[in-house]
Order: sequence, then C-alpha cells, then structure tokens
Amino acid sequence: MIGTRQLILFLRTLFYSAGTGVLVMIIGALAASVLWTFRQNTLTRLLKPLFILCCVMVFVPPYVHALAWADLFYRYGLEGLAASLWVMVMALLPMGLGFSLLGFYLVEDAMVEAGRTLNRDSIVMKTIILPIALPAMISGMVFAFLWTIHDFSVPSLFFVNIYALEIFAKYSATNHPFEPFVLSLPMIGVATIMIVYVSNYSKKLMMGLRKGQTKESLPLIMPIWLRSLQIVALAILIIQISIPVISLIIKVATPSNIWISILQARRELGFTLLLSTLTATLSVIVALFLAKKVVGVGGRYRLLIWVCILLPLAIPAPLVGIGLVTLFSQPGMGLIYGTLWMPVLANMIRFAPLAFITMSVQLKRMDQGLLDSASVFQKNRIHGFVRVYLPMMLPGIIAAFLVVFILTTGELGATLLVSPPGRTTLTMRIYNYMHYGSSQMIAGLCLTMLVSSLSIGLIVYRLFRKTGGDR
Amino acid sequence: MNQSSVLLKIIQLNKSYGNQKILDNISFEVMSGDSIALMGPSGSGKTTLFRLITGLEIPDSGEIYLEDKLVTSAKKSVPPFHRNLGVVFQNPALWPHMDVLSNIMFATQKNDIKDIHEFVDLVIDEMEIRPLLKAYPSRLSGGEARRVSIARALASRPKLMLMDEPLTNLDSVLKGKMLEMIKRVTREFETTLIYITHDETEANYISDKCYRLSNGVLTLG
Repeated sequence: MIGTRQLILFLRTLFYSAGTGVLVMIIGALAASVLWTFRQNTLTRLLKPLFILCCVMVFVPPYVHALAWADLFYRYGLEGLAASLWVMVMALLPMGLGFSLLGFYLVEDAMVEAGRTLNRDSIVMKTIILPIALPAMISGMVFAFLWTIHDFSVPSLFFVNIYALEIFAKYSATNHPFEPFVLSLPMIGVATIMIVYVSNYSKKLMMGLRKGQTKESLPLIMPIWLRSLQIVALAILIIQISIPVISLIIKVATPSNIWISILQARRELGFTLLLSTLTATLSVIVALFLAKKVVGVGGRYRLLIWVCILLPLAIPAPLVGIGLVTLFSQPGMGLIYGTLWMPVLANMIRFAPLAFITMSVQLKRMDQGLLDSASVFQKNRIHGFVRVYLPMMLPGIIAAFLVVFILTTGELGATLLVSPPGRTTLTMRIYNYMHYGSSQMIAGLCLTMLVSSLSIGLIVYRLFRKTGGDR
Repeated sequence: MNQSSVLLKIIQLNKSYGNQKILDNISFEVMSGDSIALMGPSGSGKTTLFRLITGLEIPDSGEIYLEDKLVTSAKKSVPPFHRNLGVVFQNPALWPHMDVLSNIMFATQKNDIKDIHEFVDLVIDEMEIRPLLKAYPSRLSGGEARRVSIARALASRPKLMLMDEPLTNLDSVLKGKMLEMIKRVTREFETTLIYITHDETEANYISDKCYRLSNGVLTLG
C-alpha cells in the first residue's frame, strides 16, 4: 500500500521533523541555561520578559511565522525544506525553551550546591544538572517533533511536500478513507512511541512545576564556548520574537489596514470565535472530568491511561477530519454531518488532550492538605466544591480553556475537511490567501492573530504564575 | 595533626537580604581538630553563615580565611570546590540519576589523592553503607540517605566538615545513632567539624565548643 515514493517521503518527513525537534531542543536548552547559570545576574532580570514573551509565542500559529519570514527568504533565495524547517524551529522554539526551563527547575538547588562544593561548575553542569534536566528537554523535543510531523501548513507555503500533506492529497484524490488511514499508520506508530515516552515522564514533569527556586546562589561559571553558544541562542530568541512583529507591522503599513482586514473577515472571525468557544468549553468539561479521575491513579495503569488519553495527539490532523467525515456520513449517523459540531469535534479530538495535561498539572499543584481540611470543615460537598475546590482549580480551568481556544483558532488540517459548507475559519481564509502571495490584508489578519495569541498566552502565564511557585 | 593551627578564620562578616540584616559583624576562629556547634533559632542566620563559608554566596563585607588563605571577601570568592570542604546539607541532596557509589565517587574526581579508593572503602565501611552501593537514592530510607550524604562529604578527605542540620526529620533513636556515628568518624578521620543545629542536646553531644547565633549576632557558649 505504501510505495517507494511515499516511503522516501515518510523518511524525509521524519528527518525534517526530527531536525526541527533537535534544533528546538538545543536552542531552547542553551537559552534556558542562561536563566539557570546566571540566576543572580542583573542581565537575567532584564532577560526575563524576553523569556516570557518567547514562551507565550507558542500560541502563535506557525503560518504567522511563515508569512513573516517569507519575504526575507524570497529576497535571499532560501526556499524548500530548509526554509520550512527554519520557520518551524522559530514557531516551536517556545516548546524547547519552556520544557528546558522546566527541566532545569527539576534540579533542586541543594543538588547543584552539593555538587559545587565537590567539583567545578562545568562538571556539575555535565554530570548533575543536564542528566536530571534532559528528560524534560527531550519531552520538549518530542512535542516539537509531533507538531512538525502533523503540520502541513508551513511546508506547503514553501512548496515542500511532506507526509501529512500526502495523506490529505490522497483523500482529496480518492475520497476514500482506507488509503489515507493505511498511509497514516507509520506516522501514528512513530508518534505513539513518542507519546509513551512523554506519558512515562509526565508525573515527574508535573512535580517540577510545583517547585520554586528560593536561594540566591552565585552564578555558575561556565566555559567560554558554552557562554558563546548561550549568547547565540539568546540572539535567536530575540529574532524569533522580533521578526514576526516587525515584518507584519511593516507589511500592514497603517493601523487602519488592520481594521479594514478585520472588517472584511468579520464573518470568518465570528465563526472562528464561536467554534473556538464551543470547543474550548466542551474540552475543559471533558478534561476536568478525566483529570480528576486519573490524577490519583498510580502504577502501571497510570501509564496506560495517560497513553490512551494522549493518543489523539499521534493522529495526523487530516486523518481526524477524514475519520469524522467517514463516520458521520454513514446512514443513520448524519445528525451532525455538515454542521458546526463537526469542526468542534475535530478540534476537541486534537486539543482536549492538551486541556487534560493543563488540568492535571493544576490538580497536582493543589495542596492536598487544603482539600482535606475542606472535606472536614465543609457544610456539604457542594459547599466545599464551590468555596474551596473550584477557586483552587479555576486558574487551571481558565488556562485550559484559553489553550484550546487559541489552538482551535489556528487549526487547519482537520477543520479544512470538516467545516460546514459556506463557513470558513479565519485561519482557512488566511491560508487560502497566502497561496496568492502576502498582502496587506493577510498581514493585518496575521498581526491580529499574533497580538491576540500573545495576549492570551500572557494571561495563561499569569494564571499559572499566580498559583504556582514564583519563578 | 597540628591542633593549635587556625583552620578557619572569619573576620567582621556582614550579610543582608534587602533591608534585613542577617549577619552582623561576625568574627570567630576554628582551630584544626575542633568540633564546633553553631546554634540558633530558625531564621537566625545559621544557614547563611554556612553558605558563606562554603562559598555558595558572597558577603556584603568581611573576610573568610581557610588555612590563612583568603577565600571570601566582598570582592573575591574562591569557588566552593577549591575550598576542600566536606559539606552536608539539610536535605541529603543525593543525585537521583546516580547510584550510591557514583554519588560518593563524584567527590573524589576533583583531586588526585593517592590511595583515594582505599580511603573511600574505609569511609563506606565506617558509614555502614556497603550493601547500599548499587542502590539509587529513591530506594534509600531517610537514615541511609543521610549516611550516604555524610560519606560523600568525607570521601574527598576534607580538612573541614560543615553540616547544616543534617539530622532534621529523623526520629530520636536514629538521630542518636547518627550523632554517635558522626562523632566517631570525624575523630577517626581527624576532620574539623562545624555542626549547625537548633537542638541543644545535639550541639552539646557533638561539639567541644558551642556558638550561639541570634538576630545575626554571634556569642560563645
């Protein structure tokens, strides 16, 4: 069923996704190590806003980065796989940075200090800090890999064929679900292995989020070559944020153009808001229920349950759409076919696992002692739930809602297949126009997308910062 | 060992965090072979003093000398690993990805001490941790983890051992055994000891001389 051409394409996609993942991890880890090794330095205090901004850039859809970089690439003749890879690295760098920071926060101060009294800082970094932080960094690489292997919006803009696009094209050509499904199997296999790895490590990652750094230690003394690489990584971080912002502002030219583009796309904007709100609300309800059930489960069942819940992340976006179309076009199943509920369901399948992760993190961060004391003093269960549990859980609920909301607004692979006739999302409109070359209108919409994504990202950051250990 | 030589000399040490003065003009000396207890209530500045001696922080002013060599001042700080100290933290701080033996051997990598393996063997026997050598820290009990942490500190043959409330959270029976063990090994290996605690019984048992730290001010006795 899978021909030589497709096998080569699959390997090429693996190489492209792995390359993106590795680069994201290396640059992210180097940049994150600046915050770790120079903790007391004034420089780090200045850099903190940069790190926060970079982390929340994870909510900016990759195609916004693509549009921002496209002109530069065309000017210097960079195209194809290299251009696509660079844009994906820029889009997913926040994952590398975020997970690396998390990894470094998993290393307790006392462990570093015990090492520092016995050996030089570079050895402490190599033998103590990095081995403890590495699994978290690899988790970041895995998420970047999964994202890249499923995303065809960026490669297609640079005229690169990748395996996810092949699945989409196969379905478009045959209108039959079997062949795309078989084509997806190798991709699902690789992605599942990655998900098992992340699930296995998830408990430890969540514990890391509970800790805060307290001591004001002296900065670690690192060799000059490492410091040079750290500076390069910081420069890339600055570029990653500034290029999309500056490039889009230049393209938009005047603020009125933003307003005009929003007005022209108001139908799509309305549909997108409705779709995202419904998806996020339902995802949060499902995720809250699941997280409450799962978070206390231990042993081998824990891994199995986590893998099952996160497994939808392994399914290529077009296959989610194809599956839904096939299922709901069967006789007797057509109740939601061609309605708004199709893209809602598709986006829920894709992003509810992320809401589950967010909610589980919040549940883990909650002080069990406070819940226990509520169960002793509460008037009844509802009283305890409303006055103690819900307020403690609220930041997680809002964060999960916003995560799903913003990812749904940027989703393309599945929505493209299941959107009701005559209805398009903002992303679909931007994507369609992008193939005709960038214009002020697209730039205006992308800038709107960028600003709203960043604002929502900052809200999510603030919510988690408020209830967790302050970094 | 020359019992009369000064091993650690602290001169007019000051340290503040923001507006809060933690250490106020601290001066004292520790002679080679001494066992000193540093007592004080929580928040009195004991751990800050410990961290300044280890070189993990720098003071606002004042100087610290180890064997007549200036190791800490407001402008200069010799890196912690160059101070030849054995340090035991409140938390055993064992590295979770290394087994017990690797945790201990990490301490021996920095210097080329002759017969270090024989010495480490001796420490392992003295601390009664030989059956644990292949175990990972997550498998150790609280008492075992403390013993490994002390063994790691001793393994580099330090001239000065610093212990910051090393027996916190242990039950009284285990604490008694551990205290006896610490006293025995520091004497056997002729190591000078600074033992930080808020427990008067521990301080009296382990030390020849006891300092009290209160509101950043150090007094003898």
